[in-house]
Amino acid sequence: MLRGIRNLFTIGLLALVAGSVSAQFGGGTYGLTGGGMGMGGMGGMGYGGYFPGAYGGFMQGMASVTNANGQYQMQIQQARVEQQQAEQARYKSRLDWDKTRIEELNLRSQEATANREYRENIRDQSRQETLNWSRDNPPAHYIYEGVALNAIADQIKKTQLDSSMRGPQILIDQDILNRINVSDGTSTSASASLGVIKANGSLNWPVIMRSRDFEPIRKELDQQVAAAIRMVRSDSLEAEPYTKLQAETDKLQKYIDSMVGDLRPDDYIRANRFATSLQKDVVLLGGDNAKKYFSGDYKLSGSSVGEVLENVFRSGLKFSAAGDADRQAYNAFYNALLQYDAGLQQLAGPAKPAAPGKGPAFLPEP
Amino acid sequence: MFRMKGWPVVFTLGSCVAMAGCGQRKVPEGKGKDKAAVPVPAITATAPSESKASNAAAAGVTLYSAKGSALVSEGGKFTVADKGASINPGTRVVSAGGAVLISNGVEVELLADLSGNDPMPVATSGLKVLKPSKPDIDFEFTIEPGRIDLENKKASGSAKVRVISPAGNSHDIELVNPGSRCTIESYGRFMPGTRFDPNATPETAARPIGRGALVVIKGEVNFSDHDSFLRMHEAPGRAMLTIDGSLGHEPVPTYLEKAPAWVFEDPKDPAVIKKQALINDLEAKLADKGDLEAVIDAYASSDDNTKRIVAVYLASAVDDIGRVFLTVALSKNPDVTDEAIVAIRHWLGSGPGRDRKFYEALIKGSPEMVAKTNGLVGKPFSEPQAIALIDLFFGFSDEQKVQPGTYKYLLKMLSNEKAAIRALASWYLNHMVPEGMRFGFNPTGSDEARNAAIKLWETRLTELKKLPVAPVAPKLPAPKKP
Repeated sequence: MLRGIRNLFTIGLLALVAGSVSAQFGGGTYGLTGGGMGMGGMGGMGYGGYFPGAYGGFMQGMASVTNANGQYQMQIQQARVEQQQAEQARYKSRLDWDKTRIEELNLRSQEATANREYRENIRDQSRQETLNWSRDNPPAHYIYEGVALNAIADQIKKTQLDSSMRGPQILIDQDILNRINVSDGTSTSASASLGVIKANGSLNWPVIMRSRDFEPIRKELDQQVAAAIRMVRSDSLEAEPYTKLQAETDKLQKYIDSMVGDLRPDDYIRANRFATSLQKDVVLLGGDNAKKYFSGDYKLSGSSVGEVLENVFRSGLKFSAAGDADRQAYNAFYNALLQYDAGLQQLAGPAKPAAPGKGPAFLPEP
Repeated sequence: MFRMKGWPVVFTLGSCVAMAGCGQRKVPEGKGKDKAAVPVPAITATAPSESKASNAAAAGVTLYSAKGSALVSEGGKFTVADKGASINPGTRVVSAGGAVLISNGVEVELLADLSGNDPMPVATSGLKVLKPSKPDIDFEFTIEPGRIDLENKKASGSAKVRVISPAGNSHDIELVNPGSRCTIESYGRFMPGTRFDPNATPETAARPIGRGALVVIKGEVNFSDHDSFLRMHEAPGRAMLTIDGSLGHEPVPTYLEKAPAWVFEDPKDPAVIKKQALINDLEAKLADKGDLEAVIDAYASSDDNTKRIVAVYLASAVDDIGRVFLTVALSKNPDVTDEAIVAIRHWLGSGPGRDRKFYEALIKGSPEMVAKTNGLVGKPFSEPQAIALIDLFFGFSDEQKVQPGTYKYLLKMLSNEKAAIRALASWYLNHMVPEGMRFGFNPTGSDEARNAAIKLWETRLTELKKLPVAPVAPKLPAPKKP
């Protein structure tokens, strides 16, 4: 049905086209209704048509239809070619785009590598600097915050792995080890281990806070901390006593601040450090690993520096900050560690120098 | 814990003052090989003849002033010394530059740094004349902070000078040939982080650390103390030695290609010209009025910043520390306050026992100052306040400087009722976080202005994570109800 309609439409269209085509030859009018056979106008060279009359017109129309059909087919063909060309162009374009994309990805990968290498270099340099500082008469806070101990211990671990050698036997007293704070290694900051709460549940109050002025709040905190630790040990720490303990530590901080005009700078700094440390310890008491601090998991053991370090490496512990009362022990342990490190270096030979730092080849990633 | 082992002196202080004033002379190269051939231009106009010097030697020590006036004290108040006056053993001599003492053919010149090149804060110099403890010693004195040049002015032979440190250690300096010249500098400080103990005895009290340097300017100099002997020579050669009380009392010699720049000052240097003019003016005023306190007051109230700073150091040199403290508490000019704080720190460190004197003055108060300043300063400090103030003057150790509590303490001290404590807290904060200077905290400003600056400080210190941060505690589940 559709095809019939289309054919009729095509014929009509071709008839119209034919009229206009005939005029191009300058002859007479050959329309279906023209009738006459004459030579047509004198002006042109044309013969005015081969088949005169209605039949001639019909034939003429059919020829025109055929002609138009051919043209239509040609146009279709042309369109297909063009479509193919467009497809090819698009494909080429896609290939080009992919190529660009690949190049870009390669570039980014190189950038990332360069940046990573740069960061590694910086980190190595920084680590080396920290190690150098730690070995050569470091500032006191390097030792008391555990930075020097960790830097030297890391280097000892590396040297022992590289050389399969062990350092000399340096004996160390358990009393000293009991005062060295360690944590699970997820952080080496002061907040990673208990600072002022000791394993036996007592608090290491600084001298200035043992005065009568601090007595009421000191007693209150001693009791609350002891109770909280009992609960931690039995896995039964509850929100209410814990919140009270937090409030009491805040109260201590406020009390210290209120006394700032009467305290000398050093005393205020110590008292403030104690209060901040206690707040951090209380946070740890509410954490998942709290029980380990009292079960001996975070405790150094060994009769010599080598043994202590083996235990530390095996359990993945890190040295953390000292409380004010632990400083002497930290100094003693630092000296022992340094002695072990020096002996190990002598046995294993000089370490390879760190690669010189180079700047980033590319801009760092945003 | 800290003992003053050697001479007091400087190098460390980042706060070395570009000081304000005082006499100095340039020693040209090649000068001084022999006395007859090489006169000393700076002093020829007023220098006594050699015979006068020799006579003076017989009498003791003669003072004459080359460029600057000398202030002398025989135990009481400092007065302006007459030129050519005879100085008795036991007399303290202080100069803002250019005063010259001569004894037994040894010329001793008290200098100050005019150009600002000196690594030490040499604003004034001082010494205490002593009776020679041995016959072969030509001049003996206890050194006070500052710079002193020694020169052998004898016609022949060596000259021997004994220098006693404030801690009592003696050092012999032999100027080997006529014309041999050297300079010595000294300075003392309490170690940062030292705790003042009001109950300590002189034996148990913390002592300042002394540091010193000697540079041979001309000829040869032998240095000796109880266990060292060093031959020194002008540069190029072993021309310098240093003693650092914090590292032990051993003198450490150093080879120099040429003498350090600060030893000679260029008289054409605009800074030198300006300060020299100021010294001349000071000398004229002292000669005219003869009243040291009036001159210091006039300088302290001058519009010229340099004059105010000279007043601060001069007052400190003559132990008028109350006047310097007044500057700390009241000066509206931050530069002058800074210099006054440095001056007090050095005054405290220039000899043992000064911290104790300062403490006593603080708790006693000064009714005169209260009256003079309308009650602004001079009221007695409470004991904790006085102790805290002296601890603040001693400074913070490296370890304390990284503690958040230190910043918190200083921030709180910006609101202290005592202007001097506010000034010191501001001084430390500005040194530890220099960008804070733009907050314009003025310890003597109005409450509103101070509170506004404190807010800015607090915000910035919080941003820089310098203040302690309270940890966030986990929330525990409430107990199950039975």
